[in-house]
Amino acid sequence: MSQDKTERMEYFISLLDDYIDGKLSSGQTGEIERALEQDPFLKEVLKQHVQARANMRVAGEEELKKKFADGFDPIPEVIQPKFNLLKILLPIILLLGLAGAAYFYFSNQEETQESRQVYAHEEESSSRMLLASVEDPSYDLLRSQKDTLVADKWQQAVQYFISQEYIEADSILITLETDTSFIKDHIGKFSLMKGVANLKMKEHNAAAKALSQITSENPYFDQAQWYLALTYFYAEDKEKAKVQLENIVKDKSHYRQGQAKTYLDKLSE
Amino acid sequence: MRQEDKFSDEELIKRVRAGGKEFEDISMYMFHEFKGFLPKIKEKLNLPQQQMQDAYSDALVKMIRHVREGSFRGDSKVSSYFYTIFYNTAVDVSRKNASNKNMQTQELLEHNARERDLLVLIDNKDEAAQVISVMSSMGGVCQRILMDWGYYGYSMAEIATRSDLSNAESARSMKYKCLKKLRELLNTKMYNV
Repeated sequence: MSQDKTERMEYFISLLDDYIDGKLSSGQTGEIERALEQDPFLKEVLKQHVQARANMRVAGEEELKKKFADGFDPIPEVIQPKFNLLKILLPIILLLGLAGAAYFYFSNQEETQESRQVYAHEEESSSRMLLASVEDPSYDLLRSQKDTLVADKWQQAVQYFISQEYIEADSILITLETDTSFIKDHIGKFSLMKGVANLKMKEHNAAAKALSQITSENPYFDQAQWYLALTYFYAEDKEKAKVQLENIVKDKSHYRQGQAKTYLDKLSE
Repeated sequence: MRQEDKFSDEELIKRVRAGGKEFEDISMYMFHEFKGFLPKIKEKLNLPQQQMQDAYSDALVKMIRHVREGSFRGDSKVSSYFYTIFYNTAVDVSRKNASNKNMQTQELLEHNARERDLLVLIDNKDEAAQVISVMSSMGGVCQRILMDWGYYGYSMAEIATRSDLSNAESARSMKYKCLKKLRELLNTKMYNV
């Protein structure tokens, strides 16, 4: 390498950190990007430099975690507030007195009361199964200083989804669907969000279609199974819901096994 | 720094981004300050102590990274932001336990967004996915110097003191050599995979 070329390379290498951090002036950024296009060696150096910085960060994070590891104490159970005896007994005595009085007045209405209790129980159980109370899957809202257009769109969709603005989230997802490369790389998280957003909008066919895209090898499959079961449940497609829920119940390791049982019971009522 | 001292969100962010001793101290401060979330999440998810600790440390390291890289823009309180990350991390651990799948629960070995953008720009996407880790092959002094500079953000004068070097100029020279060595190691590893 000639002296000039070596000096030029040294100059660009000295700019790499600021370039990676986005701290260069637009002039210098243009200069280094042109050099990167023309010089495969500089490209290689940048690639190694990015890897080197990532190495330092990863090693630093690991070290920090080790420091944290020494600072833990046993995690206490959440302490229920203590009551003093009088505070507990007084309402009980009052309640007993009222209950005794009420007994004489309402003993002939016992049957009606029982039916009301059953109704209240059913209502409580149903309210737990309202579509609005179904917990959404979690998504991290991450932003970088220099997002690509596609990443930016995804962040917007996540933001709308977290805020439960499903129509807006879905409309952004529709624009992302045309990016085959993005879909190929992120089919799991994309289809899960699309499916759940449509489920919440009661667009059951679209929800089922999206969730069915997630195959069993995908890490999002367990979540897809669960929301697909819920989609059929709320679409009142009892047969399909039953099949999906039974699959989850059979899988003892499934993270929603317990809740799937509850929904299955509800189906068989 | 005493734990009784209270810091505003602006102060926390400022100190995390300042690097060096301030960064190390504020990291430990946040570690103790947010411990109150541990019993709450444990009650919700019923994870064993060790997994709770791992999820807590992962989440805190992740949050610190977001603050330093500017992904966290202060739209919410730092504690709320941490709680969300901690809860999501713990849910991932819980799902991993339930399904016993080889699911990634942490991002420690991934590039950050800026690095990914750059690698995609100069390379193909597949190679942008993971960090090729070679730090353990470095000598102890080099590892210390590079981490103090590249992660903790100490000044050259501080690095000289911490690594027992004569002055900032020696530290700078060592850093240059160590970085070159690291790049060479990476070069060898990248083309021998």
